[in-house]
Amino acid sequence: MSESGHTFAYAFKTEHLTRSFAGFKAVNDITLEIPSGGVRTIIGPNGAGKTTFFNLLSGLLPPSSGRVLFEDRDITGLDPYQRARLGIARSFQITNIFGKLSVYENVRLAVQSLYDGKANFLLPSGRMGDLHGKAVAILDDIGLSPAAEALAENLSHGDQRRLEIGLVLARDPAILMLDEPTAGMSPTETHATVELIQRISPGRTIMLVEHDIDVVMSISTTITVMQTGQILAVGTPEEIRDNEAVQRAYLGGLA
Amino acid sequence: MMKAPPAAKWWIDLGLIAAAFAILPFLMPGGSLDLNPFTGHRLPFHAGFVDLATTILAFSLLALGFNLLFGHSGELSFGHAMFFAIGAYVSALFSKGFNVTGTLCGVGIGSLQLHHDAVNNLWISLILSLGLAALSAWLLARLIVPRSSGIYYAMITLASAQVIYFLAFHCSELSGGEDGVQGVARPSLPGFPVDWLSQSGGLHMYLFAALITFVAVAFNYWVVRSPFGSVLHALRENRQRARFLGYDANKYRVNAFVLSALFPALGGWLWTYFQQAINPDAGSVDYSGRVVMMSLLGGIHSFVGPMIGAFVYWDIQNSASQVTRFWPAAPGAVFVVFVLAAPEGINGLVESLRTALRRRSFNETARETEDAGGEVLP
Repeated sequence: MSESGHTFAYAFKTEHLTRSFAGFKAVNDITLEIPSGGVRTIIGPNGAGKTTFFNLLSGLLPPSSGRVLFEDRDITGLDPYQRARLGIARSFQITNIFGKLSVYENVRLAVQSLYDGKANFLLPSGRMGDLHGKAVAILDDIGLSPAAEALAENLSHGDQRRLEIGLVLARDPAILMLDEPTAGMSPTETHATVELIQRISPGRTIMLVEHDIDVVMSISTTITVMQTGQILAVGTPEEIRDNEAVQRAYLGGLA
Repeated sequence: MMKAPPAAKWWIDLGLIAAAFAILPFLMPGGSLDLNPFTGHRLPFHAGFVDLATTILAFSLLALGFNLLFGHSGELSFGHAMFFAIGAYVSALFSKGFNVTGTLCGVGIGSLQLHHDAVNNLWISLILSLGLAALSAWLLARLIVPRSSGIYYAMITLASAQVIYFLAFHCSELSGGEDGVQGVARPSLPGFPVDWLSQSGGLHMYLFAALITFVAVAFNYWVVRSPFGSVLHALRENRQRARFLGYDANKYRVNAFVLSALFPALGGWLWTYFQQAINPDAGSVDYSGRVVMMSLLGGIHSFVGPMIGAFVYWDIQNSASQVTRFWPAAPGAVFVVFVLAAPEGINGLVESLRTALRRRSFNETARETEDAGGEVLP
């Protein structure tokens, strides 16, 4: 999937995308193109609608109105598993892993999802391609090989978040959506995660929701600022830093 | 490069289960309470013991099927006895034959006549039992899986089982109503004397049931260790994550439901030939509930747990019924104690005991090494 990803001008396009919760418009009529490639970060004050926007793009929530396009294809009505197969992968704000399974089994399952159609109950695991080799490569990549046999729920918070990134990497997605990947991490863990994101970003589009402004400024290709369900500004980190409307929204906190 | 985690030694697991089946008829203390073992009155193949063992096998199948959903996929079906009933009624009616004219389920069917002659063929009966159970499970799962989860799923399966129960109860022209189907002949096995299954005070029936059950157990064991089984575990742990990894969760849930219905249907099929009769109780809430109890008692997160639970449940019930007329309370009381004190069931207790022993022996070895002046790894 990712090979074809950058032949398109945009990864996602939304048209009048709206989502209401009991009359409150968490995402209000957003029409936006998210260009292919690079690190595309969404920032904004709490309640700006960032996570809702993420949920609409990844299929966790259906929109109240409007459309979502992925590489020229209308995916508005697709289930998350169908979007995942198209090459859209996401992590969650609250760590979302298989807690009672081993770290290795977590990653192996993520790799096995590539062979979903063949995963029937009569097939021996050995006939499904090199699940083991790919799982080990991902464990090495995210630095969790030493913890392979531990239960995922027993990992530190930072390692659990890295494991989740490993899971979403398994399909080699064209778009990787990470919702606050460094939330709750120590400075060391944050640094390691930023390095990991930079390492995996070539050849795909990374979308971030992130609060750590140092992280945002150092790795973003473009920044999209949201406020009250709408887009306030889009630009490079420098442009956003110098944007007066953005400064007002953050009460000077960003400058 | 890291090695793959060691594969579970399947031949040891299945070998132990086969050994357990071989000695099961000897492990029935319930029937011996009123007998003095020192006077020689206790006969190892007393019909009561062997029949209890066969009962345990049939319920083990019911529990194994149930636990494929509950323990492995994390979904509680509160009506799995409906597939036991379907398997049992299909084999009973196929073997004994039926003749329905005039009305069915109290509704006039005009000149339509439903007629089927008795057939002495175990294997066609088996295929029909499994096939109809699978078909009804598939239709039901297609209906409920996309629409429900958790307690709603449990309640809809319960309601569906009630439908089967009341059909069995009220369509008496076909099902025999409250009395059920009586006098089903035990079929002959190819290459054996005609009444072989009825010989030796139930022992032959037990051996046949044990062989069939063992094949089903081995199949279940294969399923939970297959890539399909891994996905079920993923769905149990975190269905949302599994979906976002690209798994069509509902497809797996439907398939798991159909597979899980095969085992109770097989149990019902055995039950019919074992009891030579079947009545609506087979599909009752009572049976569905007992299976939940058995599985939790034995331990839902282990492969053998539900079978251990079926064994313990029937043993407690049988023992208690020898000493008190309040015997139905006994399995319930034990169940409550387990849920409160040992939620992982008997198998969980055994596992924690083993872990504790291993840790103790490790500590002792460590101390000895220390005494000898050797280095100890942390």
